[in-house]
This record gives sequence, structure tokens and C-alpha cells, in this order.
Amino acid sequence: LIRPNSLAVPGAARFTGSSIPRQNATKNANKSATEGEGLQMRFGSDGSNKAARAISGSDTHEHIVKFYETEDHLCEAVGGFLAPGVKHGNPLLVIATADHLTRITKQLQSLSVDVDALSRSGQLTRVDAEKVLASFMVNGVPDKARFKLAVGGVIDLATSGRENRKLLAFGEMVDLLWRSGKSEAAIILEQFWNELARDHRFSLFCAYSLNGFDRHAQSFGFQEVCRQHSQVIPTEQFVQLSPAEQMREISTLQQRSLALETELLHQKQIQKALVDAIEERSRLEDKLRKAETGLQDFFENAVVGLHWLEADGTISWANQAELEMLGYSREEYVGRSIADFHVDRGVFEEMMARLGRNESLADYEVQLLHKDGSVRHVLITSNALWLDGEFVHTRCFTRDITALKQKERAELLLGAIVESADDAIVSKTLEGIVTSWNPAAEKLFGYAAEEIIGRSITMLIPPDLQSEEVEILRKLRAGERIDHYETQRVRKDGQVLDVSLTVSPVLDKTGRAIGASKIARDITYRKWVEAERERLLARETSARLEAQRAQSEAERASRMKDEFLAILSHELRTPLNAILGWTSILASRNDESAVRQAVEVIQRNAGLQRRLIEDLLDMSRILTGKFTIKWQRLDLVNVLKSAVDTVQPAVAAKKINLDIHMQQETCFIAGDADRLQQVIWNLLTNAIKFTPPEGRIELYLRASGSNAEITVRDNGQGIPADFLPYVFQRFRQADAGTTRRHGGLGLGLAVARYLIEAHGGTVCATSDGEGLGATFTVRLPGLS
Amino acid sequence: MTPREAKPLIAVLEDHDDTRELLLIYLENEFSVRAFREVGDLLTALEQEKFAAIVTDIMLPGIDGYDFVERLRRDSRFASLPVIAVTALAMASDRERVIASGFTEYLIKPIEPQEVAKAVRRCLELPGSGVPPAS
Repeated sequence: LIRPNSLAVPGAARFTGSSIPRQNATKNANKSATEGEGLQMRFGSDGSNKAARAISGSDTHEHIVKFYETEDHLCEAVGGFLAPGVKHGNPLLVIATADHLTRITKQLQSLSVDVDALSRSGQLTRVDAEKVLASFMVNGVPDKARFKLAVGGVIDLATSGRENRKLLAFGEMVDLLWRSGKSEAAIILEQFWNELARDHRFSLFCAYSLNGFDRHAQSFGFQEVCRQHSQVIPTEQFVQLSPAEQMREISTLQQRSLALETELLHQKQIQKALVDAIEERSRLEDKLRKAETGLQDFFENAVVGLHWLEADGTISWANQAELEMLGYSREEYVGRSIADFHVDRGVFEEMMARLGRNESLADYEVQLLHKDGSVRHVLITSNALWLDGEFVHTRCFTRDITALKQKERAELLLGAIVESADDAIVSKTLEGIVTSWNPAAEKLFGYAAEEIIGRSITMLIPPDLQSEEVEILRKLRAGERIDHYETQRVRKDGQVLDVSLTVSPVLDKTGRAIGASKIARDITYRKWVEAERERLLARETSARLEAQRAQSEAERASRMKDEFLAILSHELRTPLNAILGWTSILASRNDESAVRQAVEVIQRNAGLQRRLIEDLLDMSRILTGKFTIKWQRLDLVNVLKSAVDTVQPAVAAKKINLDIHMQQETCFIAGDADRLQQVIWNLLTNAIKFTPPEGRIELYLRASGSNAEITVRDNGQGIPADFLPYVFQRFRQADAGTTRRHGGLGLGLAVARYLIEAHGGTVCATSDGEGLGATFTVRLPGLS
Repeated sequence: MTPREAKPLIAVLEDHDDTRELLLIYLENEFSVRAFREVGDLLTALEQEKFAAIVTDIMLPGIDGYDFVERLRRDSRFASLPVIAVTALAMASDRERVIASGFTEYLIKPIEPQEVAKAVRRCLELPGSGVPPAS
């Protein structure tokens, strides 16, 4: 191979356009034809006619394409294209594969061309098409700049020294691309060639193997290749024919083309129908597969238990639900006789007998054994599959109703409980309408179920408690429960009952209250028992308090008794001491003054003792009820005078001023003179006792209505207000204990009051307080 | 008979006139006796005079004998002064209280005429006091 020199010789002529319009090309062709060059010339077997014209030095750029079927014909055509140029001194360029370079060289030699001489002279340049091609292909696409550099350089080299003659070039780089499937790259490369013709003067002969266009889809590519060339030369088959034969051939080709187009269309339709059929089949197969899978899944994973039994009861198949229902694995269940799982073998035998008679069983209730030993209540719906009169297997659907059975039993039990309950059990709607009513409710409220169901529960509520139901219903709607609510309800006969209510909302599955159940218990008796218990408790408490009071009273009485005895002892011993003392003095002294004093002291103290003892005896008589009044008509004036006489010595001793005021000269009443005198003496003595020396005592007697009123008033030490209420109680003295100023037992006023009251009179004491004196007033009924 | 000036000074405290009179008669032969009706009067006298012994009733107006003797015992000057109770309080509970209160002697009315003088002598450790009575 000759390496091209890097000569840059600008093209002498310019190509008139990069893309020659097809009609122009056709026009040129037609023009050529009308210029008498004939078909033979135009479709010459070797292209030499064209070569001849190219050689003529015309500026016209020619870009010829030659289709070939055999290598030999290609080489012949190339030889024919180049040969005239040899004669006329045109520069020649061959860009071909190594094999084709050899063949073309041989072809030229067969035409008596001294190829070696031509090469030496530089007229013939041969270049390896694959190498040139590789120099400007970038990523499988021809690069324009590189193409211009490489191919332009080769052209310049080949033209060097013969610039006045047009270069005749053969190139098969496009064919190389086409044959390797790079049809688009081939078209681009053709365009590059056409663009190169703007700067370089050459006629280019291209060749394509027709085998490269053997598919219908290449029609466009084929046309595009033709369009890139100014002249198209058919294959050797055509160009070797006579013009008449060529016309026939064209007609034949046209007919064949039409037939082929039609055939092709038909083929396409068949192909499409085939594709559609295959797709349809695939779709149907898919559908079938899905249906099969679905059906299999349906049986295998249905919620209902399914099994097949052979004629002898052997389980030949069972689905998952069935296995789960009875708790067995497939291995433990399938293959065994269903009889092993029946609680009642008789039931199994009857079932098989009926299925054997081709009967259908619907919801046939059986009991099957679960693996855990429990009994499952199962409903079986079954019939048998028969083929050619042969029993194949049963189709058994099993449904576990154990829970339903239990619920049913629980409901029955519950119903029985409700029916037999002692408590009224009632259900009602959220509007308070009664929906159920048990016998206990009938008994408690007196209404029969049919009288009250459908009516409002408020029938049972007393008028003043009607608002309760509103609150109960409100709570129920809120889902709340009412526990042991104690209230009252009315029986049909109007009797009011004490009841304890427990009301619970009845909830649906979503937890929404849809009604209420109510349990009412008659607590009238309980209420009575409670009240009775409380009454007894209260009684017991009061009895206990009474006992406590009595005990403390007894203790107080005992203490008072002890105190009384101590005082009594003291009060008796004191005068006794004086009496005994003076008695002993009398024994040793007999002077008159001593005797007089002794007698005085003894009399005084003995009198005191006597008074003390009489008071004691009076009190004793009063307490034992043995006191008697000796009734007689008496004059109070006399009684008072007698009493005054008896206290005169004491009055005198204390130099007390005793004033006596009597409105009447006589004052008759009924009574015991001695006792009344005792009372007056007592009141006067009391006054004297509590009045300081030289004090004043007033005694009044006057009529007050029908009563006689006696008043003893002193200006003595008086009575403290807090003691006033106790002044007439026995053993009570305002000044008590071991620091008291006055002696005595505290019996005088108690006895006095008793005596006055025994006479049908009253006595009262008043005092303005300590140091302010005291007034005792006695009222006795006068004689009418 | 001991000269009057030489007689020990004895106080008699008694609100019951007849009894007080008796006590004076019983004691005045042997002792110089001053009589009082109420505790207050005696307390005043105690500040002014020195008494050898006191003969006193218990049930007294205002301040009783118990209170009186307790007051005396709290005062170091009178802590050991003989105080003889002559009282009509004769119950067992009275007896316990009398002893607990700090009396030197306890005579229950009615008393024998010579008994008080004997008790005073005993307290003053004078001859003829005899054996002290069991409490």
C-alpha cells in the first residue's frame, strides 16, 4: 500500500450542491438519455461510459453507486470505471478492502494496465478501506472533521501533479459500514463524501452488495443510498440484458414487487393473527391457571370445613378449615375412617347409608371428636359424587356449631334463671319501653307480662319520683350502670314498694347501648328489718344511757348517802358532845350559874338533836309513804303564833327584828296543825339561821284569792341563783362540805315542801342573790 | 396548881359556841387558853403570839381544819407545833384524812372531859399525859 502524502491541494472545481434534488438528478439522467446516450450507456456494465464522461474534464461531480451480486462483477465494474482514466492520464484512487485491492489490481492487469507503472508514477493510489475508515470513526459514527482530514488528504495525495485532470475514485467504506449493519453511519458517510466534493474535484464510484438489501425493512435505506448518488447502476443481472430484456425485466420486477408487497402484507396479517392467537391462548391459559388456583384455594382455604369420604368412610381429602376445626394434622386425619372421629357410630352409619342411597344430607347434626378430647358439634351438608354408577366420594361440608350450641344452652340456662329468679328481671328500650318481664316481675309489681310489655316503665314509678327515670335513661345511654339504687316503685294495686334496682345497659357488638336490663329486688322487708334494727339499736342505746344514768345516779345516791351519814354523824355528835360535856360539868359543879348554863346548853342541844331526829324520821316516812296528815279544821293564825313562840328564844339570841303581819284575825283551812306549825317553824328557823344578828325577818299571812298565803322574808345572806332550783331538795345545802357555816342535815325545806304539797299547797323560794335576803312563800288552799 | 403566867399558851379553835365553852372549861385549869371561832383570827394571832399547842375543830366556816393544819405544816415555824383535832367527823374516810393532813392528835366527839387536856399534855410531853391513843 502506498501511504498518502500530506499534500493539501485545493479542489479545482466546486460541487454545485450538497444534496442534489432527486428530480435534478433524474432530469440530468433524462437529459443524458435524450442526448442519445441510450440505456446501454447509462446502465453500462462496467461504468466505463461514466468514466469516460468523468475523464472528459467536465466539472460535474459524479457520485455513482453500483449494486453488485458477485465479487467478480464488482471488480469488473471498478476496472471499467478506472480503465479509461488510465488512458487519459486521470489520477486514480482505490479505497478498498485488502482482498478487493488485490482483485481490482488483477482486473486492471487483465485489461493490460501496467499497474505497477501507474503506482510508481503516482497516477494510481490504492488505500486500505478498513484502515481509512477506522481513522475517522468515533463511537461507531463517522466524524466529519476527521473524515475531511483523512479522506481529503488521500484525495489531495492522489491528485498531486495531475490537478488538471479529474480524480476517479472507487470507495467501499460505505459498503463496509452497511454490511456491518451500520446503515445510518453509511448514509452519513455518503453525505460527507458529497460535502467533500465542494472542495475537491472527483468522480466517486461506490459499490454496495445487493445482499445487504435483502429485507423489506431496508427499502428506505436503499432509497436513501440511491438518493445520495447522482447515478445509480443496477446489478450485473440487469445491466447485462438487452434494452428490450431490461424493459421486460423491469415489468417482471414491478409485477414481482407488487406480488411481494401483497404477499408481504398478507404475511404480516398472518403473522399478526398468529401473534394474536398466541396471545389469546396465553391469556386463556393464564385465566385457566388463575381459575384453577382460585378454585384450589377456594376449597383448601374456605372457612367451611370440607372433606371427601370414600364409600367405606375413609377420608380421602380434607381442607384446612376441617383440620383446624378438629385439631388434627393432614397426616393424622386423611386416610383414616371418619367413623373414628364420630362420637356416635350409629349416626355415622346412618349417614353413609343415606349417602349410599344417593340422598343429600342438609345440616345433619353430628358430634365429632377434637384431638384435645372435646366434642365438637358439627353440621354436615353432603351428597355423593357418582361416576358411571360408581360411588366415588362424598362432598361433605362441615360447620362447627359448638359455640352456637353453647350459646344456645347458655341462653336456655339464662332463660331458665330469669324465669325462676326471685328478683324481678325486666328489659327495656332506651326509651323506657318494657320489652321483657319475668314471673318474679309479675309477682312483685302485679302486672302480667302482656299488660306491661310495650308500655313505659314509668308506670311503676311513683309520681314524685318520675324524674328518676330520666336520669336512669341518661346514664344508660352513656353506657353507665346503676348499682343497687334504692328507691320506691308502685304495684298495680297502688301499694308502694321499697326496691333495690340494678340497671345495666345492653350493648351491641360495637359497644353501643341499645337497651337495658333491670333487676329489681323487693327490699320492703329488708327496709323493715333495717328500721326495726335501728329502732332496737336506739332502744338499746337509750337503755344503755338510762342504765348509765341510773348507775351514775346510784353512785351519786351512794355518795350522797355516805356524805349524809358523815354529816348526820357530825350533826348528832356535835350537840351530844355539848350535852355530855355539860352533864359532866353539872356533876362536878353545882353553883347556880353553872347549873343554869348547863341546863340551857343541854336543852338547846337536845332540842337540836330532837329536831334532827324528827326531820330524819319525817323524811323516812315520806320516802316510805307512811306519812299521814291528820286532817282537821284549823286556824292558820294560831298555827303561826305557835310557831313564832317556838322560835322566839333564837330570835332573841340573835337580836333579830321579827315583824309579823296578819291581815286577818283568823284564817281557817283544812290541815294538820302540828305539821303546818312544823313548816312555819322550819321556815322561820331557816330565816333566823341565815340572817345575821340584828337582822330582820317578816312574817305575813294574807288571803290570795281562795288561798291563804304565808310569806317569810328575811334580809339575810340570800340564796345564790344557781342553788335556787335545789333549795327544796333533801340533803342539799348551799353551803356544804367541811367549810360550811351552818349545821343541819338539809332536810328541813324538803320536808316542808312535802308537807305543803300534802296539804294541796305550794311553796316557793325567791332571792335577789347572795346577801340580798330570801323570801319563802307558802300557798294553802283556803276553806271554801 | 401552876401559876397562871407559867401555864403553856393553848389556842382553841371552835365555831360551835357550846363546844368552845366546854373546851375552855376543860383546859383553862392547866393551860392559858385563847379561843377563836375562825381560822383567820387564829392565823393572825399566830403571827403575834407563841402558842404551845392548838386544839381545833375541823368543820369550820371558810377555812376548815384540814386546810388550816396543812398551811401550818408548810410554814417551818409551825411545822412541829402540836395541833390536836377535836371533831365530830368520825367516819373512816375522815380518820384517814385527819392523819394525812398533819394533825398531831385526833379526838372524836363526844369527848371525855379530861381527854383534851391529857392529849395536850401528851403533845407537850408533860407529866400525866398517859399513853397516846392508837391512831
